[in-house]
Amino acid sequence: MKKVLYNKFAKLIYLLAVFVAIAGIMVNIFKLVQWEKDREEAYDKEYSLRREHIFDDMVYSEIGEYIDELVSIYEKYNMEGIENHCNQYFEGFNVIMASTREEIYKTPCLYTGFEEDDLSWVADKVQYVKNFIRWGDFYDESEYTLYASTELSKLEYSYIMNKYSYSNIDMDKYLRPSTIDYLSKGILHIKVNATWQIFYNVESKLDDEVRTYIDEEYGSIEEQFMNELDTYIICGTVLILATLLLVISCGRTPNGNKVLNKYETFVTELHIIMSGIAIALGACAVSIFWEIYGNYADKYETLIECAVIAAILVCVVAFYYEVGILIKKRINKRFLSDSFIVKLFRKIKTKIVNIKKTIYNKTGYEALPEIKKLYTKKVILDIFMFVFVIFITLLGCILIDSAYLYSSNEAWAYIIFFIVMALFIYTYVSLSFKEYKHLRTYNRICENVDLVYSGHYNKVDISGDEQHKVLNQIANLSEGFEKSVAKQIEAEKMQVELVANVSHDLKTPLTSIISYVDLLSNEELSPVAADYVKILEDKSARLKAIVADVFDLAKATSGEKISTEELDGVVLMNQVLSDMSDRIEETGMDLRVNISVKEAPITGNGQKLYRVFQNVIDNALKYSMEGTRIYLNADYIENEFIVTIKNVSKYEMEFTEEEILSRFTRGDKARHSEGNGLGLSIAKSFTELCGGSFMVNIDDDIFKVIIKLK
Amino acid sequence: MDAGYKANVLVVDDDRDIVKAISTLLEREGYNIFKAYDGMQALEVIAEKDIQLLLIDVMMPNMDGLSAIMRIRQNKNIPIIVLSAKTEDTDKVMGLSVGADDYIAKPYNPMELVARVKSSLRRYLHLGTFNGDSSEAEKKNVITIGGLQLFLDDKRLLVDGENVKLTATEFKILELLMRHPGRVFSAEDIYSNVWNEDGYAVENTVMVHIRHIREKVEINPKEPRYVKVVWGLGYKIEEVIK
Repeated sequence: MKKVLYNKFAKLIYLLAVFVAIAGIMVNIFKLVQWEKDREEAYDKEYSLRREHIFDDMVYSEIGEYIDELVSIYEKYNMEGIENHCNQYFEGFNVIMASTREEIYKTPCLYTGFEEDDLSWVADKVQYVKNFIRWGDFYDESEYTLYASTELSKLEYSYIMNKYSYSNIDMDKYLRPSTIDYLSKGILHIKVNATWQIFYNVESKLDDEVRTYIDEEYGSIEEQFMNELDTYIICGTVLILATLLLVISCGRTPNGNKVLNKYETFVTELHIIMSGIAIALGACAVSIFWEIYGNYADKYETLIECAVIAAILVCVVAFYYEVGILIKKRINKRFLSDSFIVKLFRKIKTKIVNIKKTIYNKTGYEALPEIKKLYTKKVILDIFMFVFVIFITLLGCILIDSAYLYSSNEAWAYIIFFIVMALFIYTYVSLSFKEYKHLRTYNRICENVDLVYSGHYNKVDISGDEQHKVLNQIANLSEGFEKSVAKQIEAEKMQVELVANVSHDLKTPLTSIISYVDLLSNEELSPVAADYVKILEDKSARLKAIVADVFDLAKATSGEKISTEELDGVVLMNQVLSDMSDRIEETGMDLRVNISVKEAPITGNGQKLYRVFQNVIDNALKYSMEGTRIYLNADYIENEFIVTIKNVSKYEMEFTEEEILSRFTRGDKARHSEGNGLGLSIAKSFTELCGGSFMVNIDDDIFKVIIKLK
Repeated sequence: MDAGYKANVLVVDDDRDIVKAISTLLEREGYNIFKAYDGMQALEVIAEKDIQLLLIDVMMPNMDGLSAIMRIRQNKNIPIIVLSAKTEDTDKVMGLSVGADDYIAKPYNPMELVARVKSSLRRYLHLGTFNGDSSEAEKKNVITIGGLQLFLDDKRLLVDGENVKLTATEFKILELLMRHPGRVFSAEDIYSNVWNEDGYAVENTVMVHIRHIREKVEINPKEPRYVKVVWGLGYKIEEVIK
């Protein structure tokens, strides 16, 4: 399907179809135009024929009707009625009515309301006027002057309608018999001047008649169009289908999308403009050729038609090409990215962001989002206020302008208005500045509190705001914190030193004791003395171990940092178990180990963690009831290495979890066995030094240690 | 070492009782003992006498042990063992880096002390006799780390000049570790290298062998100088002790 649709030849066929369809439509339109032209000619012919023969007749009958009307109104209402009705019904006539003939001649005929345009219009109609002259010369001097004054004398088209003396046209033909009767009584004399209006009325009446006649003869242009409708529909459908196919296949080949060439990668707007230009050129071509067609159609009809079609096709090709590029851009997802306007907007956006950043940086509204929000709100309000002030100023100016029009107080009104505005602006701006300052201070307070909170006491900075109470308090607070922290560090350091010194002081005499006990044991001694020396040897060895443990524990809890590295908890566990295998065998306890993961990456100090597990396992071995099992489970859950050691206690555990973890507490209160009660404390401290947690759980006789390492 | 030869050992400590105890201990082993009670005295004795080994405390009046060691090391190559109550790792590193050969923590185990003195002296004197024959050592394809000499051709290990018997597996493990001093090998690494097959859950096997090697090589297997466990990672041989 795609192969056929996107094929090069297929595309060519689509384009050809577009050409054919357009040409077809154009040819039909030409036909229609030709038909219309013929119809117009027929109309012209008919019109001039009718005007030649019946135009005068129509004018006279108009006038006749008018006089009939006048007379019948006069009969009913006298002059009053005439005055009322004339204005309503008889536009286009100038009427003078009198009871005697003499009076008629005395009354000047006033042509009011004539405009220059009317004159020129009338001038066009000179030939009709000439026709009128033929009816007789029945005007006197007064009328001459009148015409002279309106400059219509030259035209001489006026006509006084008076049956009795002046008309050489038999007016009776156009009047009702009753009218003729009445006028012959001599009670009423009428003088009618036909103005341009009457020609106009008659002309349009004639035009209407001819049009109706022509429409009847030839049919309307709509009907003509409908006759050819099927052609238009076929051509239109072909055009739309071919265009759709072109749109679909544009920019695609059976193997994928086409890459844009250099011209096609140009800004999107260019292509939009170019397609617009193509349409405009097409329209121009049509209108220009139309003009020529009107004038030279008889001679070069076919030539002009061909030229128009060619020009339109060229424009269509250009239009399709440019639109095609736009579609290609869309397919290649470059429509927006190539657009100059979009690029501009994006640039402006980044600029605005940068400016915003700069403002934030300069004013210190950087770190805290909640203040940024407040700040943004404030800026929006300010922009709104700015627009509002401009609006009010303009409104004020307009109001003052209209209210004080022609008044000398206008200047004062302006002055007072601007003073009020200036006061308002001043107040707002000064309040605004204060608000910005408050925001800045608030931000600073938050920042500094943040610093104190995160422990960066030395970074607290209130320079420039030393007078601000809260900031000052924060500065004092941080200073206090800093001092106390320094003191604490100092104290911790001293504690470590103390422990080091004490242990040194303990170790030195212990060294002598051990040395001499050893020497003593090599001397010839009585059995009792040898026994005593043996005891001394044991106890001094234990003392040595305790001193070492106490030192380790003191160091671990002094807060001194230790070095850590990436370890594998499983490897560590296995190493400890292997290392202790002799001791485990020795005690004869059944240690069940279940490590359910292959590896457990943790961070810690290997040496310390070795001591942790060694102590915990040792503890379990030491205090488990004979014949019970010790369970050691290790698992790795959510990046945590969790080791659980469970055993059944040999002694009743009369202590709490807290107590057993405090120093020198032992499972057996009587302290029968070896050990110094520091094992679990050391294990806990070391675990915590490595960032882990150490928990003890006592459930009747079951003693459980849970170690979690990350 | 000829039996008739009596090595001169200088014991330095500000605690006279300890000096006396060590002297008694070592005299019994047949050494010639000199005594000093601070760094200055130690320097004087060393200048006057032909001392083969120095046992010295760190914290002493007048001149502390570390300064004395630095002075001595300017022109003497004798083995120096530091004896100190400061047992921190940093203290040990400090002692070894200024030129001590060994570091014994107080309170020491008398037997261990004697063993270490013996070992150091043996190595010093032994290496002295071998000094001219280093080319021979090269020829024989030997890896030497501290007091350990591994003869690859005749599968022999000398610890401070004394022959130590190793099983074939132990030898292979030691060879692997000694070929890459300082590098940490996991149990799986060692297993696959020595046994030539992939190992799983071999920690125990390897550990047992390591412990045996330690027992043969180290003076105090609980505080090994050479074969070390890197907890949570594996095993290694300490790079260079001197």
